[in-house]
Amino acid sequence: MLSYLVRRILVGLVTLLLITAVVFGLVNAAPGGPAAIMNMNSTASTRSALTSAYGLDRPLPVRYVAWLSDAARGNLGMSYDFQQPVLAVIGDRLPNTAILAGAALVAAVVLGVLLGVAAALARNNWLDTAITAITTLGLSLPDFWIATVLVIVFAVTLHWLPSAGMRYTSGGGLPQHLLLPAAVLALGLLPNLVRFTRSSMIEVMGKEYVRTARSKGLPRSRVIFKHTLRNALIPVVSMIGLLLATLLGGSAIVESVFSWPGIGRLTVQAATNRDYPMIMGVTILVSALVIGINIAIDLLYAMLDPRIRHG
Amino acid sequence: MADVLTLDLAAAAGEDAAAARGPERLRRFLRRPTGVVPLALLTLLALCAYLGPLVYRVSPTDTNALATNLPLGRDHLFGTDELGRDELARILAGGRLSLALGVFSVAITVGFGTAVGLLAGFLRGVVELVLMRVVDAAMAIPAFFLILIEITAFGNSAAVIIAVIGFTYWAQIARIMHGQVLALREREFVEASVALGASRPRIMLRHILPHLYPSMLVMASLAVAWAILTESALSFLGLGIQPPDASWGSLLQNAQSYVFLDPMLAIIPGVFIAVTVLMFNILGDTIRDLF
Repeated sequence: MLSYLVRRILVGLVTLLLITAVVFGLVNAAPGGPAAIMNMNSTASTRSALTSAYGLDRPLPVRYVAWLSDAARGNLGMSYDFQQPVLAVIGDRLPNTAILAGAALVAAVVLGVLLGVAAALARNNWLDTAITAITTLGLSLPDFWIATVLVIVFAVTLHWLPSAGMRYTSGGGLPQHLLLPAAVLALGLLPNLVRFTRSSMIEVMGKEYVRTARSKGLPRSRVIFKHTLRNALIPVVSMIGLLLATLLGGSAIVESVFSWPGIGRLTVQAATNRDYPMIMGVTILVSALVIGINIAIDLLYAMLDPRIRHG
Repeated sequence: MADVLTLDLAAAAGEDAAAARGPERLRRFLRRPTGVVPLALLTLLALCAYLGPLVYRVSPTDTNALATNLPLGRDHLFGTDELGRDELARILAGGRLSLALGVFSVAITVGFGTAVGLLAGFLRGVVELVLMRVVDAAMAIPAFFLILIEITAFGNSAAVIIAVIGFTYWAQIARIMHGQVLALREREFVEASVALGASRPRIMLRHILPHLYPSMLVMASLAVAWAILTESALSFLGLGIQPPDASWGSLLQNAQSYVFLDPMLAIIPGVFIAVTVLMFNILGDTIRDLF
């Protein structure tokens, strides 16, 4: 178990190193380089002053190693836009994204598992067809469009919920502000969770121990929840790890629509303003987060299912 | 004796003629409503987008200050936008761009992904090790953040957007193809081809690749749906297609400012995106069921 953990962490670190190289290479492959874009109206002399101030006149590999050694010590550079350390700005926004993404994930998993189980139990029935049809539709609707429609209905027409922001200016009101963006984000995850739970349930329902449980006369609900669902949920847990990247990508769009002050909106702003240190910092932190959480999920796996042994 | 052996091997090598059952599969596909309806709708949509301007000769970029934000009506079927531009003409122009972006970027995704999967799975060894590590790393970067970095670095011309979207999902496809090739390369017809002295490129391209066509078709269909959604999301955030060009996503973004005055401007492009993506998704699911 310990050697498995060490190995996973090492592989994760190597992957992260590769990602930093790709990200750094991409940013510096920009035509004209970051310095030209930093300030379009600058004269040649201020530009060269800026270039040496940010150390952009050194060769690429030297800059990469310097940047990497800074990053390893928790210094991801200064944001061009905020004139503050990248890590500090991200640290401010990360909890807001965690609240939004966490709420969406919980809602999506609860609803997705329920609908998936319902579809599996009603297999090839009208209910199953309806759930499958709705999830295919959900997979096809752009999340920013759903967001726009929900704002028109619930904020503009009915005045039930605020259309943007995280809290009222007087403070408070987090739940009201959270509801719409979390719903849109959750709807984006739902189709995959429903489909995956459905097929996982159907597979387990065909297992012999389920037939045994039923033939020894256990009540249907007990067979479904104790014998089938518990086993069917194990692969669903790993699905959550895979959905994490989708969730964070979706948060970029949803946070932009609802002016939610999180890292997704921060990234979009950084891309719009070409704030290179910021966009590099966010991407690398998010990648590290995704890798780390996936390792944690694999460890959790062994606890959920004692049959799984990490050797 | 030698002749018989050669014949046997040739027969085994011919066993992989995946294309031979093509017409029968096509018939089964066309008999399903979930096959024929999306195919017909998408064909209709493409015909309207590409040939429509020959009939409907209204410019998508001509402005008219006297006819702004008109509702749906006879002169302007979908109304006009805030500059008096005809919304139907803009939807058609957006359709040309969105469909072309989807198809070209998916050609890159599927082509590149299949090539990597095929090489890694067939050649094994160091090639496989290196390629599959790269695939792992590519899959570890959250896709949308990678796209934002690339757009920031290379700008947002249509060509860049095609390349960026095209080089996002190849890793998933490479991994799936890798798995399929690993299974295929152990089959008898590959062994027979080796025994007949076929070169490695020939075995890969003539014997293994045709078996991957159905999966490529399924993934292409699903990937077009994803590519159109991604492009429209980028344009919606103002990072994609720039005015005066129109894609369905940029039409939606533009409509945001007038959503209370003229909600149809936001609803119509959304419906076109949703229907197109839905049809590609259903198409992909149907092909997967059949093969």
